[in-house]
Amino acid sequence: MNHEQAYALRDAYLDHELDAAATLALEAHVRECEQCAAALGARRALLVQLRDAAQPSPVPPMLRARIVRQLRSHRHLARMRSPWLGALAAGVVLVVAGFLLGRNLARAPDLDTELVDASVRALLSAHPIDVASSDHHTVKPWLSGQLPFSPPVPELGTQGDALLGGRVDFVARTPVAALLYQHGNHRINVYLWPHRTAGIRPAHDRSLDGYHVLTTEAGDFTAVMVSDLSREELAAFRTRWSAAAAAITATAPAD
Amino acid sequence: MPEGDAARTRRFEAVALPQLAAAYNLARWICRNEADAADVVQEAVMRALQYFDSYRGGDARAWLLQIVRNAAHSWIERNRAAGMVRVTDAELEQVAAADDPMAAVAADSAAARLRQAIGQLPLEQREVLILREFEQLSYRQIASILDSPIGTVMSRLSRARDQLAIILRPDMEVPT
Repeated sequence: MNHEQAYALRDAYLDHELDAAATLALEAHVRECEQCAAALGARRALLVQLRDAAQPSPVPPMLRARIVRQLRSHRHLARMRSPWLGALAAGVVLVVAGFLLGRNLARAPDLDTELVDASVRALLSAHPIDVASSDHHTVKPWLSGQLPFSPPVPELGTQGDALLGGRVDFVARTPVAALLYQHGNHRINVYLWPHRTAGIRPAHDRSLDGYHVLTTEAGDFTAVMVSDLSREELAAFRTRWSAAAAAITATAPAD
Repeated sequence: MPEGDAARTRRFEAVALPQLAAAYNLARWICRNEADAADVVQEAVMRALQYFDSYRGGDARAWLLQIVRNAAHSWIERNRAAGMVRVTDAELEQVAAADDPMAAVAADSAAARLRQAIGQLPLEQREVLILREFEQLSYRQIASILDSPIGTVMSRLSRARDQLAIILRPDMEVPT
């Protein structure tokens, strides 16, 4: 083997991609040739440096969530579609009719989806709460300072539901209050805004991708709870939350 | 149809999702931009789902990475057509530093310098290098991802490494 051949094959050699005969020939040449030995050594050093420079680049949680969600909706769609093409055609008619009836609804994602998205986004982020406190005397004034309204902040502390804190979230491009509760291993986002807030349509009770959305009212406020708790447990939470909210809206009209 | 679409999608998830990190890494190095890499990966995964019937088992990583690479290349084409691919040195540094929080502090560390140098390589060298050094794929796997002969992989990889050696140590002589 000569210089040129040895030089041309050194990468394949270092990558263990040479066959046995070429490997032996190259090693024999390098033993005799200082220049090629030095070049091979330098290359080996570069590869070691490269290996040290390699770092795992974790997939951003949002990207993973986006893909999983898209695949899941594809799966739901597929399940609906395959046996009943006729039903799909009927669905298309309904969608078109719905579109004609309410273009605003057709243009924007519906509110329930947006709330589930906001909830998932918050829980994926490193800071699902802006003000961390289990004390409504801390959370409520903070929210009032950030928002043009002062939402009820029930603590619920005695029934296995812990208030973790609150944050301001954006839903339908409108700032709303969000309270975060913990129940067992699950977290519950409660979104609050005054009735008839411009730009926000009423939400509906609904299940979406394993999340449940339940709505209720507290005084002048609409409250929507989003969680991956089971529907029954979330309904029970809604009952406890509503009772606690009713108690504070009745006794303490303003903070 | 031997299986339902829903079952097929579930089978696809089992094959594709474990390869997401490799897919994102490749897209990031091709696009040199994290937000675009995320879009490319999402698009590629949905495209892969469409092509899933062409997957005959075997090397899932090489299969998905080929689709990711094609998606990333069309992204580059689209943006070049729109005159939008303009990468500044600062952005390159950002890409290089992005997966290394300490890089901002120790920008002159050897690894950070090396990653920055990789970011400066021409695309055809950069992608081969990433597949070999960071994903540790064999020449054969890389050749199948690029849809090119093994000889092409070999020569691009050699040129990429030569180039890196020059960028890192401009005074070093490359024997001929």
